[in-house]
Amino acid sequence: MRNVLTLVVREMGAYFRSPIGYVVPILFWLLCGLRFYLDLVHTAGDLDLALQQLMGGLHFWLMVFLMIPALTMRLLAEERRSGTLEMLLTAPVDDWEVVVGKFLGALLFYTFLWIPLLLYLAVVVFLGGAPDHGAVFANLFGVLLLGALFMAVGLYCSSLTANQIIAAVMTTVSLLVVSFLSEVGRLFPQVTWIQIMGDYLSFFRHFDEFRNGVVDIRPILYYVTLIGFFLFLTARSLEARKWR
Amino acid sequence: MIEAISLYKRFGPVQAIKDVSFKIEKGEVAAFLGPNGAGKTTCMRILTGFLPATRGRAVVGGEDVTLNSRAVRSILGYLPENVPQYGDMRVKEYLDFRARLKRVRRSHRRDRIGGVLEQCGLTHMKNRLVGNLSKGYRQRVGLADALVGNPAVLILDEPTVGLDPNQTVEVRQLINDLGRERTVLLSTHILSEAEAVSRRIIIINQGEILVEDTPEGLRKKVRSHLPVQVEIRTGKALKISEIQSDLESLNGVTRVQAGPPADKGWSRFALSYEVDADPREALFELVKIRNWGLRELHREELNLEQIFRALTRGQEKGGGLA
Repeated sequence: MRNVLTLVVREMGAYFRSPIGYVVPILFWLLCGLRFYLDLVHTAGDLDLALQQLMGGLHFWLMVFLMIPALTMRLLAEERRSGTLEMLLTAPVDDWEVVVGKFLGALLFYTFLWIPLLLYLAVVVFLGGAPDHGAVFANLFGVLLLGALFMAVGLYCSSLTANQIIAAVMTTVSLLVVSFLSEVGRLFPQVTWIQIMGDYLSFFRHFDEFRNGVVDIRPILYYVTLIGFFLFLTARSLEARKWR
Repeated sequence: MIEAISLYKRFGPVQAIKDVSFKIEKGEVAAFLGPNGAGKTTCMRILTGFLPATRGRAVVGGEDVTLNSRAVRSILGYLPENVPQYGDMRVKEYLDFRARLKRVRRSHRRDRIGGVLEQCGLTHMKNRLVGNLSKGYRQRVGLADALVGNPAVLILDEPTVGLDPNQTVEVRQLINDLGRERTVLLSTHILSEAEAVSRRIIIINQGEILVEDTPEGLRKKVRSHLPVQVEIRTGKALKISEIQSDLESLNGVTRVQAGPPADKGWSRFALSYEVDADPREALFELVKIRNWGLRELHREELNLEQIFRALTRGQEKGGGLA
């Protein structure tokens, strides 16, 4: 477990030692601020709606789909390309510790991106607004869970190749494919089971529950299971070097 | 301390190593010697648990490298071939990261890192980014990394590649020092390096062990295969074949080969001879008696090519040497 901590610290550090650790946050915060301002104007000052747009509107999805691959593409692909994987895995570290360490490091960075948005809330309260705190936190929790799942997918894609660009493209494509699949039920309005399956698999739907301010154990379980599944696949993929 | 038992490794259609077995005792320094692509790195990767063998078993420090990989890795210091490192970290930071992974206790860590920095001549570089270092310094960082966990076993893949001559001497000295209390296996494709640092040389070629011996033993085995080169001037218009047969009459000489034509009047010959024979003195006597001129007489130096030629020739004759 101590190894995981060492790896998390290294991984967090790696973000801030590369331009990604500066370019992504600055762009992200800039876009979020602009979006929030526009939404406040559009909704004539409806705080709840503006916050909801910020954490689930069209721009949110665009940003997440572009940002997550940028954050995860490096994780294992770069280790493979530069050969550092060899020195990492010949240290007394288990494969799963490497995977979990990388994942948590990336997740921590993603969380770090979102935390300043709580300032919006503070400003709004300061200006005399009365947002529904519970709903906002539920929404943020959903954003983090969703991000965690996407990062697990990104980490897995990064473990499959030594090329960061390929890892990023694979991540975006898989996320897009899954998001289309969950809409596939719409194509067969008469076939109920396809609809139900689609609903179950859709990360949109589960995410919406958090957006509505509901923290239910079922979507949490959905995300946690899938995250675990992708981390497991990543560990297998690291191990696969041994069976080639 | 390190034992390989009939290791095989196959990468798809390529048989990287076959039937590699050796044993290195505690406190011994052994060298893997072989040309590029001989299978040295593959062997080392198997020993470190990074790659599994297709067949066979490897034991390091009493633990099987596949079944108990983590136990093996915790007593192991490994310097991989191309010294992969995180270029975005500073030397001290990087070694601290590695020391943590290797479970160097917090109370020891500072001293340990300071110690290896000193040992590897990196103290003045400790705040530099690893990525900005020259190849030689990165090699030292890799060495410091291998040492930081105070391992009982060191596996060093080409530790002096990319170093300048001074650094090479330093690193060899360091390995000599380390060998006093640790078991060291290193690889190299330079014969003199293997001779300088190790008491045991394991020669590997095309995935197979050709021979395993001490430097002296190796010399002995190969010596008779090192031709004696001679360049003489007969003065009279003797035919090459006449000189040849004259030389062949010398005691112990088995074969005389005429070399490429030299300057006018001079001719070169390469003499092969029987094991335990040395025709040099007799040759000189012959030159005196015949009143020939002599301007070169030497036995070729031991080098890797000679060893390969000698040993593979020995094998063709029925494996007498290996």
